Amino acid sequence: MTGFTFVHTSDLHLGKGFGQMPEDLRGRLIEARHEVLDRLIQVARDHGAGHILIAGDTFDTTGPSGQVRRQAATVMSGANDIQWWIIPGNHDSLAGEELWRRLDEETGPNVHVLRTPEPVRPAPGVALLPAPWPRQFPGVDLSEWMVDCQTPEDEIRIGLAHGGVVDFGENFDSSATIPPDRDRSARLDYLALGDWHGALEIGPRVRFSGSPERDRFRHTGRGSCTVVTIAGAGQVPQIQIVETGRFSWQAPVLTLTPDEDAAAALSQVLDPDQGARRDILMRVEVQGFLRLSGLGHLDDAVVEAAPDFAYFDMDDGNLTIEYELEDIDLIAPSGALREAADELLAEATGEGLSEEEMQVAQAALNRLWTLVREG
Amino acid sequence: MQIKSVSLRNVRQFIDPVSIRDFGPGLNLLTASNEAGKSTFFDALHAAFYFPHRSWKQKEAKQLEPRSGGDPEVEVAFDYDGAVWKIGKRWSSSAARRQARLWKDDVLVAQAGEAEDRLAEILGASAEGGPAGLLWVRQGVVEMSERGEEQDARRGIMDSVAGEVEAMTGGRRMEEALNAVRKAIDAEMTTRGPKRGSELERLTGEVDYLGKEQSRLQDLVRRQESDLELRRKLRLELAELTDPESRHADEQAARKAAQDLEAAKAHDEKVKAAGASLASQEAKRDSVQGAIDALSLKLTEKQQAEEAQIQAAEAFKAGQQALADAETRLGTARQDDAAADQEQRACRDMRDRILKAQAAQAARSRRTDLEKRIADAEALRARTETLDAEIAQGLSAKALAALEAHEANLNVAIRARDRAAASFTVRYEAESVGRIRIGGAPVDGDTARSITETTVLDIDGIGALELRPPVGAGDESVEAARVVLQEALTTNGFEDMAAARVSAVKRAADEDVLRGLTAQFAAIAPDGIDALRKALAVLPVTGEGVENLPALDAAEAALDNADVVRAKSGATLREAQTAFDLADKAFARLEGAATSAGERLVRATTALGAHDDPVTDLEQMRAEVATLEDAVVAARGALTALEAQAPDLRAAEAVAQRTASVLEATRTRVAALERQLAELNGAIGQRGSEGIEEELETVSGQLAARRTRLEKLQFDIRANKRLLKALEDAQARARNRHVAPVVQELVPLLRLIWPDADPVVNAETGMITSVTRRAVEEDFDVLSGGTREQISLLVRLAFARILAREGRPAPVILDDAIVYTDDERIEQMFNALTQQAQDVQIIVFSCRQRAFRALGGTPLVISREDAA
Repeated sequence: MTGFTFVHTSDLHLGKGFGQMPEDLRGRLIEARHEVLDRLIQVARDHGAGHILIAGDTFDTTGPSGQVRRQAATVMSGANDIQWWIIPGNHDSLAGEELWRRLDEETGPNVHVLRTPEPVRPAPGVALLPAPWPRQFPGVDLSEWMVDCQTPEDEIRIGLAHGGVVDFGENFDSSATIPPDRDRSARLDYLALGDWHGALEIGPRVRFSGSPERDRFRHTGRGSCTVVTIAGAGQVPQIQIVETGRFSWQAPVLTLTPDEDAAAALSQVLDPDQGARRDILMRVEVQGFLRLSGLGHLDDAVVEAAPDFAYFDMDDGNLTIEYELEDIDLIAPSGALREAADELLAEATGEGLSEEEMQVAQAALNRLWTLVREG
Repeated sequence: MQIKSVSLRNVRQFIDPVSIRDFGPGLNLLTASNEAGKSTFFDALHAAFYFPHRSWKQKEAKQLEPRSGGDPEVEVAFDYDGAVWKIGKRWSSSAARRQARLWKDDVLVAQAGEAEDRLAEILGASAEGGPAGLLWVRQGVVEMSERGEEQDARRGIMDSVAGEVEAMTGGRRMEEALNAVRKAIDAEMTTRGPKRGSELERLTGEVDYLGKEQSRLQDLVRRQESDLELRRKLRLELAELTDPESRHADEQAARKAAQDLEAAKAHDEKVKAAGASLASQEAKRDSVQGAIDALSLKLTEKQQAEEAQIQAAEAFKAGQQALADAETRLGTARQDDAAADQEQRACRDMRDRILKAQAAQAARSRRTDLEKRIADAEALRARTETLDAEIAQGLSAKALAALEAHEANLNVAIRARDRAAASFTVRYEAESVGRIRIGGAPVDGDTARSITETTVLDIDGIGALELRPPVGAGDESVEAARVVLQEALTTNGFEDMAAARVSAVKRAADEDVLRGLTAQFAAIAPDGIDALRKALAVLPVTGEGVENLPALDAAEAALDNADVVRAKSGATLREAQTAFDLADKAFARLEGAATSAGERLVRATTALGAHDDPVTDLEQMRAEVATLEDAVVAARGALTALEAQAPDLRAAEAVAQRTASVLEATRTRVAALERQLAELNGAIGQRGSEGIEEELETVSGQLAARRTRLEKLQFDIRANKRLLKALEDAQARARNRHVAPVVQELVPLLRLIWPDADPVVNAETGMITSVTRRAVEEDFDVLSGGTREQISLLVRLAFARILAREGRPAPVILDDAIVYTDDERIEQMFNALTQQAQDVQIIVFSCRQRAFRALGGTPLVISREDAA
């Protein structure tokens, strides 16, 4: 036994449709998710790993299209130098019988869907203890059985599970929380976890690999996988994080002050490498305060920068516009236009109106400012 | 601004330089014949201020070109802001030769486009026309068109009037903002909802479609989940049903149950055979026993029939005797009752005869009484009628009272007259024996006597003294009262009051008598004589004869006694009759019973006819029954033993049936499950390949994104609508404010021409829409050409005044602008022009030399440069 090296990944969410994204981007994002299989294979080969462990949520749903399933099966089976060890997660639980039945039919012997909580041996001297999800909300800690699972003392014990060790919020089944010391209670040399889409270390022997291709702004950056090498039973594993994602999801917070050059501030949070921007999804959360004139500059800067990116969105819900008299003067120092601007300003900042009415007045004033400025 | 001079070169007919100089600050007048070049100078001035020097290809610039060719040049000098400015422009087909230059106090300060920009700033207007542009009035331009530059310019002036900074630019910005907002709203909305082909319509449609699609996919996913769950359950059930061990056990149980059932059936057959044997033995025994019972019954019947016949014969005899006795008693009772009945009838007849005689007597008495009352009543009625006639002729108390009133009036009149009449009193001397007499009667002495009529006093020894009362002293009243009284008496048929009073007294006495007679009549015939006659008519007529009959009391006592005797005899008769009827029926019954007993005995004897010795026969049959009973006991014992050993056939049948049905049901259920699973597999597989969950996730994401975009778009539309309202409201308010000063300036000018005129100005367009004169409102368009011309000119003068007051005086330049105005009105227009020229430079070009001579002002002359 000279050690065991494998790639730990999870949450591929193959077949995710990205319905909220623009149509032209959806196809690229879907394609990137499929291609990540090849990148994982390449990472495994590059690091001499003959095994890829997927800790749940290989597919986005229990009912992916035949195309998504077949193409994934083809890629995995085609890499016959790699053994795939897969557990169903909450998104693709065993309740999706049809998915897993057909995947079994469509994949070769190098693809192993682990349906039952019992140890398997991917290699001599290595016991893999899987915790597959029988359904979306099992209501129990599926890794508990590992504590009482007996294996020879000299075997490497690797747990493969899906679920949070803390409350991750969204769609989280708290009754299925995995104790963070499960590696110790179950004498695991490594516990490969899935569900959290960002790479996260819980302890020297417990990690979330994160999604190899990110799919939301909550987990920013590019996707990655974890290459793990365990020298022998009881040894601390060696960890290496390898980037695998094509798209980088970025969600910087831009905090502005009223007299700040908003355009310059924006450019500072944007990736300077314009060539890379095509594969960047950007959502800038703007907060703080800005004057009308600054808002115009910010809008100009956004209009200028947005086309570089795969996706660009600005959330200015927390941005407060400060209406200075000199800005209003720029609309018109006097006369009818000024009267209209003053009326909207009073409504936008006045009391006694609903929040929605104030927002409408603010938007109307901002639009007037833009129209006059453009004119 | 004030124009100082203008020079032309190569402009239309002026090839050589010409100029007009020495423009004055107020009214300036250039009068010249047609074709003298007035309009050329007008156009050249306009071009110098407003045609860009690069606009050679534009019609306005080309019109300046002389026929012989050449580059038109114009220079205009003007005062502005304390300095002397000069603008010089040259238009040319050659770009290199085009020129625009601006001097300030003879120093060149700007060229080309910059020069024109500076000029535009001075004019306070943009290149396309500004406030001053309105003040140019071309030949024949009299209308206040709402179209084109003129309207824009007028609005610009009005903006400036309100004192807005950068009024023209600001006004256009307002219009542009309004247009942009309206365009943005119109792009998405119509008054009825989203516009066709708009993003709003598209997003609304997409959200609707995606919502439905999401629901459809959710249904499919739910169905898939439900089918998967069902398939799991069915598979579990199928596995249980097809488990080999379970199936083997079921088959074993079914086979054993079948064997048990066969054994039970065989034993049952044996039990049935034993039961049949027992039944056969019992039937034989019961048959013989039945014969015994029948024979015993016949013997008993014969014995009882014989006894019954004897008893019936004895009873028949006794009944016969009882009937004869009853008949005797009945005859006696009938005779007694007939005698009592006869006595009762006799007594009743006697009583009736007495009662009838008494009634006849009473009727006769009543008739006599009635006849007397009728006679008395008729006598009373005759007397009453006589009295009524007399009373009618007498004077009533009321009439008497009226007469007495007239009499009293007369007495009052007499007393009044007498009190006023002369009187005399005779005073006899004591010893005198002579007397004074009136009508022979001596007049008492010392007693005053009134003289109411001519009175003759006979004085003894002297003669006669005639006294006359004063004429007319109360006589008329007395006479009038007397006439009234006499007329009333005459009317009532009396000569004097005494006769009237006698008549009244008699009438009162008659009325008393009448009341007495009436009371008597009422007592005799309270209901009238006819009622008495009717009562008499209904009385029976009876004979006068009287029988000699006993007293009624005795007759009634005899009748009561006869009634008692008759009641007793009747009761005795009824009792005897009842006793006889009972005895008769009892006899008939006994007679029947005796006959029946005889017949019964015959029947009983006949029934035993087959048995010669029935008793012996009975003994033999009883011995045979005892033998048969032994056989029955033996057969029953055999049956009981078999039944005790018998298995439960029904239970065996139930077990066999149940185990067989379990096998069959399992086969049927397995087949059904396999069919159902095959169908489910197909449906699940089909849906699995379609990726419905994946599609649902995608559609849900798309729906959320479209909803977000739709909400944002709807918010933008709301913001645009809010902005549009704010702009329109502000514009309306500003226009209202702007119109006021224009009207304020215009009214005094209008009243120079029409003392009571008031303009009506459209707040939105700034146009005069009508004029009110002598309380009559007239639309501008229906006014005469001359009036419209005058109003147009006055409006421009009003604008010029406003600009001047704003510190931006602009000249008013008129090129034969007053062509339709008659000679009388033109002088009033001249007055208006002269009045306005105190603040404003006014330049008038006209070909009407004689008419405009009266205008006055600074005379202008077109002169050649070399001659200047």
